[in-house]
Order: sequence, then C-alpha cells, then structure tokens
Amino acid sequence: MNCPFCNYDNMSGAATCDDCSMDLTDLDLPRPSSAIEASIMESSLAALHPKSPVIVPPEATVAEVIRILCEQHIGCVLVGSKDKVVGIFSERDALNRLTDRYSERASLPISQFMTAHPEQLDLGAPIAFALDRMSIGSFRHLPITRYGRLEGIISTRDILRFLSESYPDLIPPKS
Amino acid sequence: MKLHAILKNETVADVGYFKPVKVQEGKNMRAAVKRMRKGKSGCLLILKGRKLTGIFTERDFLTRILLTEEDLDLPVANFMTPNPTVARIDEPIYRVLARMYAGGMRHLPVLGKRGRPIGTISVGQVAYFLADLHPTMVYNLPPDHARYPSAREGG
Repeated sequence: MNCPFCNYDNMSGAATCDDCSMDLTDLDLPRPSSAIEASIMESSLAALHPKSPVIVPPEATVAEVIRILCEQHIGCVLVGSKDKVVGIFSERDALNRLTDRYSERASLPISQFMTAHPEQLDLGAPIAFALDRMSIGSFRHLPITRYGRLEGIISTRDILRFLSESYPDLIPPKS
Repeated sequence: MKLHAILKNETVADVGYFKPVKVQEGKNMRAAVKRMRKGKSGCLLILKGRKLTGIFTERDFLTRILLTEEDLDLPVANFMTPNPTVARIDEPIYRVLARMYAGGMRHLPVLGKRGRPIGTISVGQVAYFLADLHPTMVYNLPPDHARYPSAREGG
C-alpha cells in the first residue's frame, strides 16, 4: 500500500506510514462495489491530467507574477523550482495582500507575499483525497508530486472537467 | 446513492451555498474589496436596492484593477460584470455545474424563489459536498458476504 503523501511502499494494513507517519487508516476502508461510485473515489489524481504548473523563482517581482497570472489565464503560480516548491501565489493572495498598495509593492519579490509551504499530494492519491484536502484547507489549487518531485497542479476546474468526462449526459463536454 | 443520481437529483439548496457577500453598486472599489476580504469570498454580488445587477470576482480584481492600476475610489459598477449568469435555489446541481463548465465560471449567484440574491455557489462548494459525501458512501456499503464465515464460529 503506497502512502498518498510520500508514496512510500508500506506493509498492507499499516495504520500509519513508516516513512512520514501519515495516517493510513482511511485507505483500508471497504471499497465501493459499483463502477460509477468507484470512479471518483478510487481513480488516482492522474485521471485529472494535472497541468504543468507555471513556476517562478522566489525573487520574481510582484508585477511580473501579476502579469503572468493575467496573460496566461491562470489562477496561481508556484514559487521555487521543480525540485523544491517553496510557495504558492494565487489570485486570492493578490486580493488579500496587495489591494491598495500595489504600486509600492510591484517591484518587491513575490516571496514576501506568497503562501509558504503549500500542501502537496502524490499523483497516486485518490481523487476523493484531493477533494477532502481542498475543502478542508479551502484552497483551489493543489500541487501534485511524483516520487517527491513536482509533476503538475490541479484545480477545482479540473474536477469539474473530470465530472463532465464521467457524466457527459449531465455536464456536456466543451465544444 | 450513486454520484450520477446525486448530481441529477440534489438541488442547490441540498448541496448548500455560501451567504452572499454583497455591496450596493454605488459603493467605491475600495469598500468593495474590503467587503470581499472580510467576507472571505472570491465573488462579490453587486446590488441595486434588492435586485442583483452584477458580479465582481477575484479574477476581475486582478485583470480589471491591479493590472491597469485603476483608481479604487471609482464605483464598483464601473468594473463589475453586469447581468451575471445565475443559479436558482431549486435547480438540480448538475445544471448549475454544466453552466459553470460551459462558461468557465467558478462562482454563480444563487437566486431564491422570489428572484432575490440569497447566496453564491462555487465549484469548490460542490467539491466540498462531494468530499463530505464520500465517507457516507463508503460506510454505508453493504458488507462483503464473501468474507463471512460459512459456519458459526466455534460451532
């Protein structure tokens, strides 16, 4: 049984991960029987096709980041590098931390305004796990790792797309 | 209940929505942003009296205010999206999601039975509902009879 956080291969039935001591009890719960119920709960995050994230160095300026968010039509950027993500900066952070002092803060480094140490999940984790993390933390974006290395990013929008792919009769695909 | 049936049968009222964070359209942008921060909402409803006239989101703040360095003393009506797409309280959730998906929107204002804005619903809110639902789905599954012993223990 692989740990959804660090992907360490634990003995089946282990209550906590031997490597990162993450609670694994949920993973031993009974499995759903129908294929449809199984789809959203058990499919791994890979089914959401995490997009490759836009990464900026910590010293990038606020103005640069705002321009990237607007021009590339994205809701957040990751700060750091593929090997080490040190923070995340989203539209929400712009609203909360920049508002009326934008002009004086535009040339400051983004590392002063980002949210440090964002929560990350392994690509092998079930989608239900991501929904749960996102709703508890009330964030919209979740960086996805594979063997501890950044692999992509998922957003609530990807979840909507996944629902549409699963039930095209209810939520028609985009034309 | 299967997810398909849940999406089809549950209404906006069942799934739940946030209390509206709203402001009158004459107020200036500074007051509007303050309201959004305080209300911890990504979406501000703009009203004229008790009627919904527009919507202003975090994204709008980024593209229409920050990027162009607009004057925050201007009225919010100058920057809002007028006549927004809405969700009705008694509408099944799949229709709301379909509309959000088609339009690329994250939030929709929720209108009550008499057409007054009573809240906002977001994709995140629905994700929360689905995540909340998932343990119940798991715990309520029938036991796996293949795992039961065929004879009484010790008998």
